[in-house]
Amino acid sequence: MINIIVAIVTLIVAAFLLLWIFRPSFRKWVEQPKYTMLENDQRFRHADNRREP
Amino acid sequence: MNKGSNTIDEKIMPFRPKGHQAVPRTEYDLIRWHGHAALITVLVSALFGILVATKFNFPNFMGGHAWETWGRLRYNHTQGIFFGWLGNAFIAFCYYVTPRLTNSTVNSRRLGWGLFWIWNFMVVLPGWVLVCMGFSQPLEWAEFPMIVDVFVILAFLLMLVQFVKPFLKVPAGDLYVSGWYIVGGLVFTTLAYPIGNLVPELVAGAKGAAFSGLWIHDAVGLFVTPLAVAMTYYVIPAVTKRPIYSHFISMLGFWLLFFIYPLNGTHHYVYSAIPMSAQRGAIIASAYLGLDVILVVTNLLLSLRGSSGKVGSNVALRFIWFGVVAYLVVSLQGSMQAFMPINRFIHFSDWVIGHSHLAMIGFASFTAAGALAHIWSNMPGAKYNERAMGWSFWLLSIGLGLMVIDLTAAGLVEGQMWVSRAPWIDSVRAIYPYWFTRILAGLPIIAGFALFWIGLLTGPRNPKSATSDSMALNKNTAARLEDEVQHPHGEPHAAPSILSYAFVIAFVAGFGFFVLSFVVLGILPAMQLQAEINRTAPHAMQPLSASEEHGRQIYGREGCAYCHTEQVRTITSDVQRFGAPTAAWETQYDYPQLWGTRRIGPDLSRENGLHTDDWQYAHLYNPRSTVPDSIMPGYSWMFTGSAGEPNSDALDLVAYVRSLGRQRALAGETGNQQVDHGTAMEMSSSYGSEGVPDTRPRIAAMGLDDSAPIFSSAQSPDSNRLAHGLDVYQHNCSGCHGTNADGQGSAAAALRPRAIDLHLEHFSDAHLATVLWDGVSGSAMPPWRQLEKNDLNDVASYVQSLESPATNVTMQPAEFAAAQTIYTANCVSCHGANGRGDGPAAGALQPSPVNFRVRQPSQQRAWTVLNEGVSGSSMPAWKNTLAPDQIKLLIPYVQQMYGNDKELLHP
Repeated sequence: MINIIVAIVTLIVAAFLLLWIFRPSFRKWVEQPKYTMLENDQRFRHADNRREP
Repeated sequence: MNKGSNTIDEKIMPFRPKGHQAVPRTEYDLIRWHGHAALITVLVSALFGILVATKFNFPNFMGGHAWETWGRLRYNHTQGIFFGWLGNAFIAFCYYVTPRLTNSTVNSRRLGWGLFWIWNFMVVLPGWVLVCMGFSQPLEWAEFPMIVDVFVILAFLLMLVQFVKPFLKVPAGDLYVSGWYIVGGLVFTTLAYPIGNLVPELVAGAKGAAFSGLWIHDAVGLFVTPLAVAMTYYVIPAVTKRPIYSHFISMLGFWLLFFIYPLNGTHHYVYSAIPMSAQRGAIIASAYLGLDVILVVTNLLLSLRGSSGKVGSNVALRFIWFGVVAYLVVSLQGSMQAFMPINRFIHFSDWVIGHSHLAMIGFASFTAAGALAHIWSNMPGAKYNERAMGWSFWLLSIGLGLMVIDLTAAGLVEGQMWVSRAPWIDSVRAIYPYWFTRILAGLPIIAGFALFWIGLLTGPRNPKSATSDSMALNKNTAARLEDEVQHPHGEPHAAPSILSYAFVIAFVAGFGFFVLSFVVLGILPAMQLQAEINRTAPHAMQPLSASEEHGRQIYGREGCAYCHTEQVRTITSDVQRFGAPTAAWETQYDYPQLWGTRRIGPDLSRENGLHTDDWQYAHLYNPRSTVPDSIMPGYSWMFTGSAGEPNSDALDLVAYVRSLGRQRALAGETGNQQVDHGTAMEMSSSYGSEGVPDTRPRIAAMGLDDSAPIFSSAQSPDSNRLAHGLDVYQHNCSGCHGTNADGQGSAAAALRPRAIDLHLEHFSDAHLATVLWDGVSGSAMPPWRQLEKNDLNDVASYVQSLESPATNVTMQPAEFAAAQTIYTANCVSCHGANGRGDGPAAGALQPSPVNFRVRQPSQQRAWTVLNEGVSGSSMPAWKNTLAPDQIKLLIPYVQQMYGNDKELLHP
C-alpha cells in the first residue's frame, strides 16, 4: 500500500513539474497569487493607515 | 525600519495601490482578544510546564493534593499550549489574513465572539479545571475530557464557517498558499479531532493505538504545522515587500504535506505489536516528509533573498526566520527518529521531549509569535513595543536552545543506559542534572513569553500615516504588479479548468487525505490486528475485575502512562529488562490503550508478580521509601494517614498494576513466539528462551541458588570497599532496611514482612548471594541482579560487616533433647527436621521458611520472632502456645544449626 502511495505522490509531483516546465501559461498562472497577496496586503495597510486609530 | 542597512530599500519605489477603494473589514477587536488570550494562556501553560519540570528534581514539591500532582499538571501543560496558546494565535492570524486573502470579511462578527467564548471558556478554562479535578483522557494531545471535546468540535465547525467559507469565493488564480493551508488544516482537523479523541475509547488496545498514533501526529502535523506554515508564507512577503520565491514550490509543499504527513502517525509505535506493514509505511512517509520540508523551507529561505537585513531589524521577521529554521531542523530530526536503528535507541527518552519542544516552541511558537508581532505592528491603534519584543526573542531563543541541547543529551544518556544491564533507577539518577538544567531553561522561556505580552501592551501606538518604507514594494515586484495584476481590478487569469477553484482541491486535501490516512494507518492495521488476535489469543481471557477496572481509570487519570509504558517492544534490551514483548491479544480489552510514548519509570506491562502489595502501597504512598532515588510523585491522598491505610483508590490502583501481565503469565507465553513482525530476528540471538527479566524475584529452594555468584567474603574488606558498599546500600536498600540498617526504613512500617535488622542476623556467603541475586519471593526484597558486580560485592561486604558474628552454640544433652522435642512438634512442618527450611509445608509458603543452616538469628532476633511471629509470613507468634522457657530452649537449638552439615545434630 505504501509503495503505491509513494509512487502516486512521485508521479503527481513529476506531472506538475513537467507542466510547470512546458506550460508557461501554467507557470504564470500558478505564480500569480503571490503578487495578488502582496497587492492586497498593501491595500489593507494603506486603508488601515488612513483610518483613525 | 532600518533603511541604512538595506541597500534593496534604496532601489524601491513607493507603491501606490490603484485607488483607495474600500477594503473588507478586519475584525481587529477579535484579533486583540484572541492575541491577549493566547499570551495569557501560554504563560499559564508554561507555568504548568515549569512546575512539571521542577517535580522531576523535587518530587515532593507541591505534593499531597490530587489536583497538583505531576500527571494532571502535565496534561494541562500540553493541552494549554495546544488550545490556549497556539489555538488562539492561529485564530487571531485567521482574522487578520482572511480578509486580505479573500477580499471579503469573515463570516460573522457575532459568530466570532461566540467562537472566542467557546474556545476560551468552554474549552481551555474548563479543560484545565476538569483535568485538575480528575476528569481527563490518558491520550496524548487529547487529554481534555470528552465533554470538552464536544465544544472543541463545535469550535472547529464554527471556524469552518467563519474562515473557510470566505475562501469559497476565491478563484484559484488568486488563492495564495496561506489560504490553502488554512482551509486544508481546518478541514482536516475538524475530521481528525473526533477520530483521535473518540476512536481509542471505542477500539481497544493495539488497534486503538493505531488510531492514537494518527491523532498524535495529526495534531502537530495537520493543525499546528499548516497554520504555522501559513503564517510564514504570509509574514515573509508582507515584511520584505517582495513576493515569495515560488508559489509553485509552495503548492508542491502543500500537497506533499497533506498527502504524506497523515501517514506518519504509526512511527510513534515502531517495534510495537502494530503490523509491520503499517510501521514501515509510517517510516517511509516520515522520510518523504523530510524531503517535503526541505522543499518548503528552501522556498521560504529563498523568499528572504536580498532581505537578510530585515531579519535583523524586524522582530516579527526574526521570529518567523527562527521558526522556519527550527521547522527544518525538527522535521529532519523527526524523519531520522522514525528510522528503526535510531528509534530503538532514543524512543521513550528525553530526546523526544527535546524534539517536541523544538517543534512546539522553536517552530510553532516562534512562528506564531512572529505573526502576532507582525499583526500588532500593523494594527491600527495597537501599542507595540519593539524593544520588549526583541528581548523576548533572545530570551526565548536562549531558553529553547538550552532546553533542546540539554534534553537531547539526556536522551542519549538514557538510551545508552537502557540498552545496558544497569538498574533502571541508575538512568533516573544519571538524568538529575539534565532535568535541573531543563528547569533553568524554562525560566527564560516563560520570561520571554511575559516580555512578548508586555510588548503587545506597551510602547507607542502605531502611527496614523505610513512611512515611505512601509508603503514600499520592491521595484521589480511593483513593475510586475503593474503589468500582471489584473484582479481584483481587472479580468481574472484564465486557468486550467481542473484547477479553477483551488479551495475545492484544498477541501479535498483536507477530506480525501484524512480518509486515506484513516484507512491506511487505522482501518487496515486494525483488521490485521484483529486477525492476529483471533489467531493467537488464548481461548479464555480473564477480564479485569471491577476493582482493577477502576484502578485502570485512576492510572489513566493520574497520567501514570506518561512515565510508565505498558508496551514491551520487540527489541533485545526491552525484553531482557521487562520480559516478553507485548502482544496484540493482551490488550484487546484495553479501552483506551495505555501504551504510552515515554519512559521515566520502568515499563509496567509485566508487573504481575514483580512486587508484593505491601511494597506497592509503600511505593505509592511515598516512592522514596522503597526506592530512595525515585522521582515519582507520592500519592498520599490515596491513603488515610499512612502507607498501611490505603483508601479504595489506592487499593484499586494497586489491584490494576498487579494485574498487568497476568494474562500473559496465565497463558504461559514466556517467549517471543507471538512476535511475527519480522523484528523477532533482532532478538533471536540474545533473548533467553525463558523470557524472565532480571527484575523478577525467583524462588530459591532453602534459600540457596546454585546459579547465584558468590560475592567476595568480607574477611577483611578494605575501607574503600566498605565505603562504596555503604553508598550502594544507601541508594538501593536504605528505604526499607533503614539508613542504619536497623530495619527502620521509611517504608518499613508498611511492609509485610518488614525488612530485617541487618545487625541481628548472620548469613552464609551463599545465602547472602542468593538473596541479593534472586530477591526473596513473597517479600518486598527484589533481586539486584542488575547491579554491577563490584557493587554487589561491596554491598555484600558492607552487610556482612554489620551482621552479628556467627555464634558457636553448645547445648547440654538434656536441653538439646528437650529443644528437639519442641522443635519437632512445632517447627518441622515448615523448617524441616534439619532446619533447612524444607518441611512438608514449605513448598506452599512465600516467603519460604528460613533455612537455619545458612542464616543464624541473634538471640534477640530469635526471641522476638518466636514470641511475636513475622507479620506477612507464615511464621506465627508462639508466645501463647509455648512457655517462655520452651522458647528460650529453642533459640540455641536453631542457632546451633548454622553451618552444621550433619544430618542429625548432637552436641
